[in-house]
Amino acid sequence: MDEQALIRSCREGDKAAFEELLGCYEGLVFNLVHRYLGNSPEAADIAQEAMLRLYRRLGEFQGRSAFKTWVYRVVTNVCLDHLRRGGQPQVSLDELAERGVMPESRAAAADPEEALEESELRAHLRSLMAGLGPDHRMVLVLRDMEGLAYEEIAAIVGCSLGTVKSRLARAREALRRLFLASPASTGWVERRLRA
Amino acid sequence: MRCAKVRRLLSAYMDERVSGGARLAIGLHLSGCRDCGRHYAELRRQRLALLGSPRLGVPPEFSAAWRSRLHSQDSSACTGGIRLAGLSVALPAAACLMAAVLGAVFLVPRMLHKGVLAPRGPAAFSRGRAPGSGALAEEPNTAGRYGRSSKLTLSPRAGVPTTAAGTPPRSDAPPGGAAKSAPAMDGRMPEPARAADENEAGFTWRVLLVGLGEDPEVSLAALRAAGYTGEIPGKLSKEAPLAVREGLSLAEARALAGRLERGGCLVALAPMPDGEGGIGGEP
Repeated sequence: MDEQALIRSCREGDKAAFEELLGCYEGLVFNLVHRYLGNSPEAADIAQEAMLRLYRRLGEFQGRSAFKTWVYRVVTNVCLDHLRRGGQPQVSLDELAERGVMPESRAAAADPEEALEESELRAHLRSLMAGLGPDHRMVLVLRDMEGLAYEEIAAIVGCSLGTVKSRLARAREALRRLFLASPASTGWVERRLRA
Repeated sequence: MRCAKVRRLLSAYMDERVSGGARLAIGLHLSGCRDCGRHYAELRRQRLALLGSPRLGVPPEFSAAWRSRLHSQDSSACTGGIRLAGLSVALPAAACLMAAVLGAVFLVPRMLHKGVLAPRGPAAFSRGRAPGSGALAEEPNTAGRYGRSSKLTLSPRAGVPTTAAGTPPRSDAPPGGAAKSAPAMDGRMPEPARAADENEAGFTWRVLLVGLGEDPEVSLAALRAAGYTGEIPGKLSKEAPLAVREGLSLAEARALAGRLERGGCLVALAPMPDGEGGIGGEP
């Protein structure tokens, strides 16, 4: 059954259709929540809350955007609600992977030392992202981690393209400054530039 | 192109979101400026690291848990039931609103006429008609965040009650709820509020100012040039934005937002609360 047919079935109260539909997006929801929140103890609960919110709000989906965009929007709202209640991201995804929730795939680096450095850098950046405001973190996750286009981000966040562009520039610059101000960055930039 | 401008554009340049001419100028600058070149390299490295973030596999317990919770949900939640439920709330609410409107239209002027509701002295009114001139002009200025009242008022012309702060936000407001606390524009715009003209998405939009740029003077000039003549709160944020214009079509709202952004303003577009949803969404 295609997506539109599944959505129609969901609206008729078919829970099996909803399971099938949301089954296609559970990976997206789970990852997006963990990218926003890190592995905070409540991230798994928030991801479940997001799934149920999708179920409860499906009647409001009007089909004027891609269903995937709508899913992003709902999940983003759930995470923002959580962050504004005072929840903070806590642990990087790499730490999460070490705790047993393994990544689906990871680009194999030819040089193990480089791979380690890459992983450390990523983990460090992820932990620094916790120091950004929710709006900045949101655009960074959507653009630089999820790889979405500006237009999609604008639709998800509910702002103009110009706002996305300026917010993203500020977010990246803020993260760069946080990184350069952190002790872990000492010598890292020089090494990378030499390389 | 100067370093400061180049650095402001590096993020967009990295995403190939600058025009051809600017792209060429930035490229030339980067090839000759060591500091900007380093800055750009740092941004690129940072982006590449984030792009390589691993995707997590979904733990089976997560999958099982949401499916289990799903089955305990009322099946009407995602169907038309949600609309019916909404309707069942909306109908009494609409009836109450209508009663309030009728009451305000017919009773308040009579009470005023009979002196039951004597208007307060001139000092209590921030603006509007002189006391005793017939229609209730405005609640006393509570000098709140926006320095003007957002309470129920009577339109001086039509005697029709309006809420200065607008109706409650839609259930599918964009993340952050920017529209929740937007102040009204009341009479401060040079043009009266437009009649709602529906755009292609089926609803009208408001342009919200959520912050001024690095140079507030430039932002204020852009705001004035865009036609806003009201006062500007000292503190602006996404939670407490200023509604610059309302009732615009999407194209108009985008054009206005673009003009304000060129002045460095931080702006957001929000659907009007009583419009139809655009991309679906939720609170």
